[in-house]
Amino acid sequence: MTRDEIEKNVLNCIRQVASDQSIDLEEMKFHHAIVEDLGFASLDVATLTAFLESTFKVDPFTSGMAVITEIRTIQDICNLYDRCLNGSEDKGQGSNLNQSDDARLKRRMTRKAG
Amino acid sequence: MSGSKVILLSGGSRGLGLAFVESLLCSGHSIYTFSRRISPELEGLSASSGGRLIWESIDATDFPLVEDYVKRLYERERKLDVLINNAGVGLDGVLTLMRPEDVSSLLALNLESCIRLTRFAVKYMLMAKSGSIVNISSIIGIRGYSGLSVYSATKAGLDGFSRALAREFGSKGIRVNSVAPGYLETDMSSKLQGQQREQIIRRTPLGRLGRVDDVTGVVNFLISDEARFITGQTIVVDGGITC
Repeated sequence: MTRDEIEKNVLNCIRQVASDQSIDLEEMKFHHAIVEDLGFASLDVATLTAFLESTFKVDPFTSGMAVITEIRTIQDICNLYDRCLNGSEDKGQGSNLNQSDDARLKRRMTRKAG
Repeated sequence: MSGSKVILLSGGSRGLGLAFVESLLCSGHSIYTFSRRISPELEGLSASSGGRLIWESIDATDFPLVEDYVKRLYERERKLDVLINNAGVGLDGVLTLMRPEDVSSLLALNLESCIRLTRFAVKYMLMAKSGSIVNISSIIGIRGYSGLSVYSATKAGLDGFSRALAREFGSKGIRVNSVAPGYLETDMSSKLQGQQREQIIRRTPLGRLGRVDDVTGVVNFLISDEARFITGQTIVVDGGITC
């Protein structure tokens, strides 16, 4: 599975879990934390892992490949399944989704620091 | 049939488990069950079920095999509506005379295997945001019985597990209940003889041992929409002996 497909599938899984929450999914960014930013409770995280396992046909948490408490952001999830499926190294940024937003956020933060 | 469910049931080959299988098939549901050996009665039900009854030879404490069975069930059906934790054994003995390995096997089969099977199955209910889990407990877990201390511990543990899970998964539309049968005319109670049997019957307000069909109706009710506001409960089916 390509990185693009992994990212799309991860976001779909998040949307399925968030479908009955009042979460503005249009604002989702790869650096967003599942709990702190998206507002997922522990049961939502458990449901998300169920969707991810059903989608990717692999369970990295039970197998010991990853510890759930080390997975914070959407990016972390994408990296984990990329590693599981393709043996890839962790990537810094995702693909197309919201890259322009991420770039604007970075410029805003640089101006504030300056 | 509309309203038919996909049901996973452990230990459906004999006794109460077999009665559950027969009753749930009559209600139009599809049943996936497993046990170490198949009984002639279960073979007969499978042959006449039109493919609605699937059995495999799996030891309930062989957790990798159990997990694989549940995954294959979901791959085939794409849903899992009901889990009935029925597998169990009733080893008895004064505690100090019980072999340590019998203590371990009771804990493993009666309690740990139920917890592990629930862990494998409930993720599919979480995805569907609905489901019903019924744990087959016992009045022995509520009142105790001399010679059944470890058995009692496992059944009381199952009731506690049911209550906690009801709180844990209620927000996702998953109901969890226990059914605690009393003394029944089954394989497990068949050792009740003579005076002991008569004493139990005398102490039972409804004046008899229970039959398996006294319990199957309760399970059918609990998994139905009629029980939609019942969760976290232990339903006692004992003719009143514990009242």
